[in-house]
Amino acid sequence: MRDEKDLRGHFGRNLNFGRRSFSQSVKLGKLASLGVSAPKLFNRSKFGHNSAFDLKSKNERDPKQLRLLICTSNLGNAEPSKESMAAWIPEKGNMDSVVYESAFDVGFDKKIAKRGRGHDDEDEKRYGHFDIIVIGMQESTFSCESSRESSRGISRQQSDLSNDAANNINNEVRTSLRRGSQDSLFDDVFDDEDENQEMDVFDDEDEIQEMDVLFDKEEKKEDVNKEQQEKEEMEDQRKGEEEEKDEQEVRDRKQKNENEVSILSTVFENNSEDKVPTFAPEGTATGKSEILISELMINESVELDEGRDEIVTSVSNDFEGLELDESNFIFEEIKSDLSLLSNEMKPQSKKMVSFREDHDVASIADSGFSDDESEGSKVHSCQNIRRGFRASFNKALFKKERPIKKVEKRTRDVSYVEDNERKRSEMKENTNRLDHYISTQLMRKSLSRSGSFSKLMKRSSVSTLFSTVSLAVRSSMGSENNVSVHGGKYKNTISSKKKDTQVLSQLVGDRCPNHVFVVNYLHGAIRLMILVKKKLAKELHDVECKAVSTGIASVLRNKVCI
Amino acid sequence: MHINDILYQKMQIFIFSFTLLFGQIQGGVVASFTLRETRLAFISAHLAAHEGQNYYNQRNQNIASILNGGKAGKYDASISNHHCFLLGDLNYRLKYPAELNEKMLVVKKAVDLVKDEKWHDLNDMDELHKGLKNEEVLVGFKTPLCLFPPTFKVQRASGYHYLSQRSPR
Repeated sequence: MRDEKDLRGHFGRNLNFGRRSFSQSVKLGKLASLGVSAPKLFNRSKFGHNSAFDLKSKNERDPKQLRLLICTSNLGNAEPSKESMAAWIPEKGNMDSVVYESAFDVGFDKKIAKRGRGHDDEDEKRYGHFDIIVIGMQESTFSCESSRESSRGISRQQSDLSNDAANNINNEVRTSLRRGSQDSLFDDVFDDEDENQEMDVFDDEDEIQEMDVLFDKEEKKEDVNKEQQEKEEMEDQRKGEEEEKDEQEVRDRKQKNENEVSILSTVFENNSEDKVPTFAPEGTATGKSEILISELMINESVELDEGRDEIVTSVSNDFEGLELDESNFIFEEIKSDLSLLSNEMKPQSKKMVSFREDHDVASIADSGFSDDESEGSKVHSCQNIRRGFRASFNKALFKKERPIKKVEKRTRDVSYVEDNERKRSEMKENTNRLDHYISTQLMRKSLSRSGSFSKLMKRSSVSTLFSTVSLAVRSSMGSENNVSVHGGKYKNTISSKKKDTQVLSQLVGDRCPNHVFVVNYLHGAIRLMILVKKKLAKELHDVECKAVSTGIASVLRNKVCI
Repeated sequence: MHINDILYQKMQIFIFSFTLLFGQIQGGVVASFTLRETRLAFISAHLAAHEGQNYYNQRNQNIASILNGGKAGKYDASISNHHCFLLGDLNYRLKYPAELNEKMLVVKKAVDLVKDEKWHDLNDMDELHKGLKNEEVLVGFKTPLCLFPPTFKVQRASGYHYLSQRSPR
């Protein structure tokens, strides 16, 4: 603070600090200096400091004396609450709460606090109110609890959260990402809850019940067959014709294979002639989702009659929400994952692979076209047909093989659990790669500062990154033009466009109902609020606000990350 | 559109892009008004952080820039107003004696001083107090003594428990 003595030297003339003080030196006496525990206020603030001053002349009974309360705090981008404000700003600008109820000795002559109290109301008489309350805040941008869901979706500012809450958010994001990838894969196998029902690819309970009934029937049939076989074996044992029995089994297997091939060939013929399904172009979101689902159907031999379209639309919606690079990347990742799955195929799937290798599907499909068509369209259509063929192929295979396969897996295949664990770990790796890719893309584009986002990268949380960016944008855009108002109009210095400004103004205003905002200004993350008693506000004029940027802080890495 | 408006917009875009890259802006907000023929100014500032002489000089330079930015006419904010109040996260540190080289020793020393409530000893080591005394910064300004425990690097719990990462201040 500069007092009059210094200022007189600067200006070279007497100051207009009231008529009485014109001839008397102005004394700037400290009323109180109160330190408030910052952690108590905002849990993480570095500063929370109130100081009170008495601007008065030597005549202590001068009714024109002003009582100022200076409050400052670094909020650490945490959202303040009513409790934190109550611990910081005295209610109604109550002077006694600062002077007498301080936790530490403020070294203040308590008699001075009693002098010069107004007579507006009993509260004023009893406690005395500060005439001007100045509140400075640093790192005071935060996302409000009420506006989070609507404006920012899942991205949240995590500085005001505990570690557990922040971890929960991370888990939410990971789960949503994993779900997205699982949905696109249609792979409930990796769901932890379904470990005991890993082959259950149906979501519908009715379908599951139907399938159970089918399985029961199949089991009964198998039991009957087994009994018959046992009888036959007994007879064979009796007859001593074991060799003939083996030959019969071989013949049975051959017959089954022949039946399969005949069924598949009829399906192919039907599809290739008239019922060639139409698919979206490969580059589009729908095309990608269709390809993936076709791949999945081939690898997993899943039948998707009615639910297929729904899955295609849902997956394509997921793709449409992404940028081209990202969607391509995800598409390739999932596709490669599917190819990994196909390499670890189950016995039934191996049959399909061998069938595909034996019958060149593309060449068969090409044969359906006339020579007039261009090569590009032919290749494109060929791909479509190939996909259609694969889908119908699996559809046909599924009807025959699926129930038996399910029973076998449930009862006999011991190595299946190990396979699933391996797949699950691969899926996790894939999800992590996705996080990493998106983060790196963002870093490459505009956020190439290694220091500030290093912690975020370590945690590989996309949501944290987005919230960091949004806060940074928010901080830089919060400032307004310099305000210079003359003639007693001070309301223009109040900017309450942003939600957090509104929240803060509301909280501060509730604490000081007898005061009005003269200045409520935000620059970056720095705020300055000046509240003046309602009666005194009429005497104010020539309010000016200016903001100065001195540099870029390295505060973000300390404050915004988890 | 006035040339100043265009320049201001360009400056805002510049700041916006830099903020995206680096983080939050440091600086200050200067508000002033006239009351009873007395001009009062209040500055909320956030200065450069970190320990060391270079950073200390940087903080002093920041204050000069803020005062200059808030000037009215020829004079900066400190002399164009009758009374000027500077508040905020000034980031001034404690300068410990030279024999305390290790960080742990420094932290221990600070915690001991806080336990013994030797506020005046702590204030004597305050960079801001020293700077005011030596007239290195804010010449003519006064600052009240801080007769309370430091609030920097306090654990998120009731009471004053300091983290050992950096010395309290």
